[in-house]
Amino acid sequence: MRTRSPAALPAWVVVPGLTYYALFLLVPMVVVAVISVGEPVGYGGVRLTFSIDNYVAALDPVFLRVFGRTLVFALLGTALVLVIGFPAAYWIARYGGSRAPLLIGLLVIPFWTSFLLRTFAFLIMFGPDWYIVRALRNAGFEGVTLLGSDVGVFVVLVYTYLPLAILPVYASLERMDWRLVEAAEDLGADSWSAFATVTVPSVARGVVTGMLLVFVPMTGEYVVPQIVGNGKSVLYASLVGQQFLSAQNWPLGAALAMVLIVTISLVAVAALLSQRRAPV
Amino acid sequence: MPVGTDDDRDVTGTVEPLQPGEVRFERVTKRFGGVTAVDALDLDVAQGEFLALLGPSGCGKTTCLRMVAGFESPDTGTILVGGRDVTRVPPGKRDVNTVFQSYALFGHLDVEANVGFGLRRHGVPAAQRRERVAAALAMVRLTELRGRRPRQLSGGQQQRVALARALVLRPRVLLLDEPLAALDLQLRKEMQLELKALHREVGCTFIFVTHDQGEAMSLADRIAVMRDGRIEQLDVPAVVYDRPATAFVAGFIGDMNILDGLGDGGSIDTSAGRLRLPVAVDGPVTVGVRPEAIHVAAVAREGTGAAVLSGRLRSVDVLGEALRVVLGVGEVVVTARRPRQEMLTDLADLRPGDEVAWWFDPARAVVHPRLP
Repeated sequence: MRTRSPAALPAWVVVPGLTYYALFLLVPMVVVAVISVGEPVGYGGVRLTFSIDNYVAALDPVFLRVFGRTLVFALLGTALVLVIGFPAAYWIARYGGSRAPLLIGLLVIPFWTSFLLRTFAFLIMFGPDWYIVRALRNAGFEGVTLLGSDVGVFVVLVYTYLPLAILPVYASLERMDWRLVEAAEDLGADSWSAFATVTVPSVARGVVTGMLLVFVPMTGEYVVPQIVGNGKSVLYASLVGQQFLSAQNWPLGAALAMVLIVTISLVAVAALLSQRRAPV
Repeated sequence: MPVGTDDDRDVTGTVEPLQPGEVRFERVTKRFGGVTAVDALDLDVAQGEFLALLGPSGCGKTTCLRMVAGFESPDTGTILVGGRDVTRVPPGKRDVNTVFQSYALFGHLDVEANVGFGLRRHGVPAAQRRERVAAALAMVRLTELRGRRPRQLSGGQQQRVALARALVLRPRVLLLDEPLAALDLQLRKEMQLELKALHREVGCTFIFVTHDQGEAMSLADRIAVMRDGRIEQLDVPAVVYDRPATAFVAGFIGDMNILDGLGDGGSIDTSAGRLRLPVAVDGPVTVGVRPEAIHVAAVAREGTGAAVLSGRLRSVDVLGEALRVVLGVGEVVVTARRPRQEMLTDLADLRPGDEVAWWFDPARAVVHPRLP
């Protein structure tokens, strides 16, 4: 059977999009890769030497420790986003009914408002004199601070990326055929095993997508640690920034960036490949 | 357990007696919001019976099926399966399995795993599981396709996977929700025969929901015709067809000419003329006559024992071996179904527009109080 209709769009319509992407993503990536094998000259200059010295430096334990810390942050953050986001997506998709668009709207609209604005708001909310910190201190957490602490950065990261996980998970749950769950129960599954054996495989693709959408940008998060972490909760992207902006060692910054980009790309490719043979 | 064959059913209109009480509804009521889907319903399905729940959409038939499966629970009343009260028993623990409308197969599992799903959930050991899955697949002739995913199968094949998946658990009762609705006509006819054969082979009780009266007639041992959450008539297909219990059943099952009339105790005054029927009725009634009971000719034959009525011939259409003869009788249209050879006898030389005589055996007319 022919699945392409004769009136299909010509292939060149993809050219503008791909060109734009190539120009502003691939070209800079190549530039970064080239810089990463150069050596710093003077103040912020680069000379091409095709050496791996910067990579040797980038794998220094000092940097690796921050890299590991960042991965743990992103993994824990992704896990927490999933744990609190999945039930919300599930409930809206299965029981939301006519309220679903409203609930999704309530999630999305704040997400569309300025990210910086929302992040700066935490400077007030996490401030030492605002209710949250005061309540925590009254509850016995003496000397707790949220600004400039890992906990504060973590909480804001989870808040920031929550909608990015809920939306794809909701989208796949919303397409879910709930009679499959009835069929599983009819065949002797209890609610939990029906969930594990039927619902989860049916929505696995959406869940993996959601997790990638959260995990990948979390590993490269720069703004939240700067603002909420006040430079004291250092994540990997801050190291990269330092090399470019303060140390003026572009080649080392580029090498650090390449380490992150390659690692995360491998994770993403692995996650996507795991879904290729998986279920629809 | 064998059920009645086509032959003895068609001739006598009965099946051999079956053990009653396999599935029982006792005063079952189910409401959704303000709507009563099932209204104080009593029903007794015999062991090994093939029962059709037939009715228009919204009549409560699917709700009944879902209550037997355990997906809905009645507001009041009791449901028993094999004598056990299952009203509050969760699905999957009732000795009942369902073939869903458009099958609800697990897309991430192959055919074999779909069929083995229930056995796995019931903790059947692997060796035994393989054996039973293989037997179930052989029964529905899908052994060759056991490694396929559902989306790689045709509609008929998916239907057979759904049957095998349910029957492999050897339920007391198999529930089928519009099992053939998703198939095209040719395949539907094939699957009807397969379903009947399968029913004979496994011998358990089949309850199926359909809005297709032809399907109900050809598959079921008994038909429960439902309307507004109640059963209007529950009987073997021949009786439902020949002696519909209510005006609704008369209009719903098969083709029926319906004449509105007014009974005066002795005869019935209808729009087509005055009829003398072997029933004494008063007040507004409907008189139903099947198309095949109506004779049409230029002049009535002698000694028919029936009132001869007149009408105007509109058309004669050839439908394979039968003819459809359409008459205009006053405001009403009357359709007769005659054997093809009458083209050469009674109907010879008749042209549309001709004045014709028509009559029927009064014993074959059904009279009901008119629906409000």
